[in-house]
Amino acid sequence: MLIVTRWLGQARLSKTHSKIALMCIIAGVLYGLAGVGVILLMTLMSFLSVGRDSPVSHGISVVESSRLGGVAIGILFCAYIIGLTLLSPYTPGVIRLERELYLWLAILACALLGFAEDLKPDFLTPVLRLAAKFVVLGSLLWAWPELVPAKLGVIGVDALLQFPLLAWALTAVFCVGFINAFNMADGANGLVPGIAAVVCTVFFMEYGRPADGILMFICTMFLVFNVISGWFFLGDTGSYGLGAIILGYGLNGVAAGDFSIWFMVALLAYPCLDFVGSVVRRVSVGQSPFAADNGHLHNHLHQRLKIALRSKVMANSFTGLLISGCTSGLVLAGYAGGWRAANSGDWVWVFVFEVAMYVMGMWLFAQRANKSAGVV
Amino acid sequence: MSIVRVVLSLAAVSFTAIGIIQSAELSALDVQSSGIRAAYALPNLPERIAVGIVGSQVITIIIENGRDTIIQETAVESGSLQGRILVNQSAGSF
Repeated sequence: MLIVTRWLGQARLSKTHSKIALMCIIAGVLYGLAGVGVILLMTLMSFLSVGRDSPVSHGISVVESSRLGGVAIGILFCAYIIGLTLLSPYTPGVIRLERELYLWLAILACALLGFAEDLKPDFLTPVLRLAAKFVVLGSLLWAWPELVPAKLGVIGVDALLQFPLLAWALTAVFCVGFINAFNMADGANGLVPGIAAVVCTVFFMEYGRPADGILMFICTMFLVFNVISGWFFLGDTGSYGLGAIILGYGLNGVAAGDFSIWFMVALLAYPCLDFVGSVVRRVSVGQSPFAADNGHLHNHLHQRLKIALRSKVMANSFTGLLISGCTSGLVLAGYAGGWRAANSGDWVWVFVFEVAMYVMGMWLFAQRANKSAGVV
Repeated sequence: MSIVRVVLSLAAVSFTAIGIIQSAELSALDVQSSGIRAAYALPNLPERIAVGIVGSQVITIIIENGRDTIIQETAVESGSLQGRILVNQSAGSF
């Protein structure tokens, strides 16, 4: 990779061209021409004038970028699924199974909610957006009640889950919270895309479904694009859509007994911990729990990396990759390496480790911030 | 639109089309000779035949318990595996 980077530098290509060339080389090595095609398509979409995002409005980004990453993922996913359906004996689940149709309708509704936000920020008020998501996901759980877990192995919660209506309401609230958490964590290059790529890889390794394979391929390509260029973000379309896919298949996996609840919690630890941590932090200082701030772990880590690294895009990307790698990546390594089966309860220890890392990280960064501000 | 963007667009569409065709070929192969851990149900066939894999062995599955869309119990028809196997519920739900 260093040789390629040096060669690109010597060829006196502009920074933009060098990045495109580097992404195409990586995509070509990983997935051949199909990978290069995805990178080129994303490059073109990132230049579109719609869905632009100024550096000041997005987390820690320092370059003008596009919020249409989720739209690109959606277009590519649909193209591949339609192509497979027409050219091979593959029959998509939405055609064969009624409940899959409900799931994908819910995913589409969530993605469209995000799309409206990407095109026109604050298109819906936060309360209306939450209510819309609750209606969509609540309807999904009503139509596919097997998604509501009957037992989680957590004392107290299991007792509440015995009441069907209460279990439905609690699961619907959790679903809305999870999708918001996924969206909230999308603040650094490669963070949420990295988590999504890992989760799709796990789903593909566990089930071998063509749809998971396509998602794994597209999310990996998006991760490469996002990390190297920083021109493209998932946007609300991507974070809501991918969040809904992961939520639906994750709940289905837990309900079917393929994944333990602790495996899924460990796999998706960062969005959940960041969401809970942010709500607690904001409420404790009298702020609205949904008010945006720069107190996330990825914001603090980025501040440190920005000092250590010369490139601002690299500091941003390292932040995302470090967090997604140390949480979801760690679980993928354990799963692929056969540490425990996905339905084992032992994954709770990985989650405990992740919680400890998160709390320690936040504490250390808070100490440093206090020291810099001269607070004793 | 500059010529560079036109060339990029053409290349992107062509390569993506190639990728889809390659995936379709792989998928067709999967149905016949791979299938990973999934059972590939083809509901348009009258007997609800599914194809899947156990280990590296390709199997053809005829769904006997066709009351609902979930494959519950199947009979293995071909390959070295004879007899009945229980397919995980999630195998049919991709």
